[in-house]
Amino acid sequence: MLMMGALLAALPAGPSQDRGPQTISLELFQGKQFTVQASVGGRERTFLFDTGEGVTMITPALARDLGCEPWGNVTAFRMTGERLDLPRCDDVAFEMGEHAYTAPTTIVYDLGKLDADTARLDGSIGLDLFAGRIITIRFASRQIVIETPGSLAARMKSGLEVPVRLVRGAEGAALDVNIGVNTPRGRAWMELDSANAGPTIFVSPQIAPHLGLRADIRTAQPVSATIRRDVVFTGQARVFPNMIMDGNIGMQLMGRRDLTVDLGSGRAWIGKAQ
Amino acid sequence: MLTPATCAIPISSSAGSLPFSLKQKMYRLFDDFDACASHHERGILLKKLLSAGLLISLASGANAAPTGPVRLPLESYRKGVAARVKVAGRERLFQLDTAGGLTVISPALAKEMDCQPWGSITGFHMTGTKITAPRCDNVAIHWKNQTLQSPVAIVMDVGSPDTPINGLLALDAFAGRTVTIDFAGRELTLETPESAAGRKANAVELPAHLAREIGGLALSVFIDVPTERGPARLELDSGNGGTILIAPKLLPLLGLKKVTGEGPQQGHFQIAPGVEASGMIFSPDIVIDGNLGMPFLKDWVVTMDLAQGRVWLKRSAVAAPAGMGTPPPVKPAG
Repeated sequence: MLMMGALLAALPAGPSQDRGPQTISLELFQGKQFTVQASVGGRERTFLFDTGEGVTMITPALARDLGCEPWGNVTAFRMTGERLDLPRCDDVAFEMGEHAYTAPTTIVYDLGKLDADTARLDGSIGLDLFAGRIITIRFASRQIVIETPGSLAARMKSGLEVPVRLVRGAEGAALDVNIGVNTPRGRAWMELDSANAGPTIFVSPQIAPHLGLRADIRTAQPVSATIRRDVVFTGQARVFPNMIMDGNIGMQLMGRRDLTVDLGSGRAWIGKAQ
Repeated sequence: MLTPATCAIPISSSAGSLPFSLKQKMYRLFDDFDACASHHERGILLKKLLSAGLLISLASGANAAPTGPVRLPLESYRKGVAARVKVAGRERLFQLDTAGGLTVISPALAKEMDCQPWGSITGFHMTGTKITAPRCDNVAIHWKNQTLQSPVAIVMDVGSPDTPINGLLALDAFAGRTVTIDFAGRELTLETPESAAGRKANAVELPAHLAREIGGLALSVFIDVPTERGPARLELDSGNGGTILIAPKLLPLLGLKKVTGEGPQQGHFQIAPGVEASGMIFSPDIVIDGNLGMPFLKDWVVTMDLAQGRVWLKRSAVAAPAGMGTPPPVKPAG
């Protein structure tokens, strides 16, 4: 009870306290990913919403519109260890709904390199844009909810708290969330990554045997992963060689559940999608 | 798919006298508490949790609400500092590495602890080199009357044959606390809110960020250094004995010369009013903006709030011991 009180007291004061939770709509993209509309540089633009993005990305075209000449370097590593070096633009302002958000650091990358469809996007928004806030990600309802003290209390009551850690890579500029999965040897930490929208979660070869998986098989295997005693993910997993993390869980979990995450203190609650 | 599990109240609360096993039991009780739905079940477990917590504080004295700041001695180790601690019942030497991210123990020490290393931790050296090693969990490090806990420690050999150590003590063992390190004075202080306020009163605060890599387990600290284009983020690295490093792209933005290769060059740049980095500056290809090693840190008393990500510097009152922060024997380029 005391902890809940402290948490609610720690919520930033702002318009949302008076007006109720704010909702940001998501739209389906390429059948399995999600985009979000935001006003940046005085125009409505379309961004991917990717919980595993780490550092919010803008395209070179948007950087030009903003009058930013990209500078410096941000190094990130893909799940398989591949190094990415990208220049940055700082203090990019986003408006979504009634809220304004500032990305202290964005990386600049041409999404058109991926395919023609993504070329129409202006970038990709990561959880760093919501740092310090409490949000509920509701992929099933296609919403991100910016919580208020009242709405958070309801989420805490109806949901189950799950172990998470905030991951702040790229010199602390990035923000991802890892969820704890129990193994007989200890807790493994898996990235919550909405860009993993296929049928399987990914598991590193070193963790695989502790989840009853064969490390030498590359095809999908049935898996049961205990997040807490009464929250068990069952589905399919693929063992990925060269992973630099214990695992990666995406829409297989988040697609069917609402996830409330405190991006300030690193707590999270999971509930049935409403 | 999420499936329900059942609440299981442990019958016995008997435990060995070691704090470690008590803590394990307490973690288990917390897990059980999570799974119990009814108030009655939770009530029983709450009593067990309170009992276990009391036993832990009695048995270890660890982190038992100190009445004042706790001053812990460091000693010189090569060009940096080290802590003489007790792990698995014996005295050990750990280099203090503020940029290590995760605490490291040697395979020999893991064996003495009866830990069979498992899983895999992958991190990247600032040069981009991938480092992969297995882990041991919940490593208790006793330092004077304090017990530090590394939730996940990397198991690998560190140090060198001529200056052997048992591991690296990184900031993950201090997560959530405010600590002050006087490198020249060779002392680390675990602050109380009151003592921290005293530190801050006469110090320069620098914009700072906590980096929490490797699944959020690692902990290191970066400070913002102003450039004409925006803040560069430089890591505070006591494990770097002899260099100040700046990424090649940032050299001109800090008023330094572009050089061929890694340099080095003699130079200086301002970090904040009254705070300057100077000396032999190297510029290798690194995956961060820069790194402030012992040549910088040796002159400062550094207070770090490892919960909020805030940093204060005050010039050290004593001169650094001979050899601390000495640059490698190379000549400046050009």
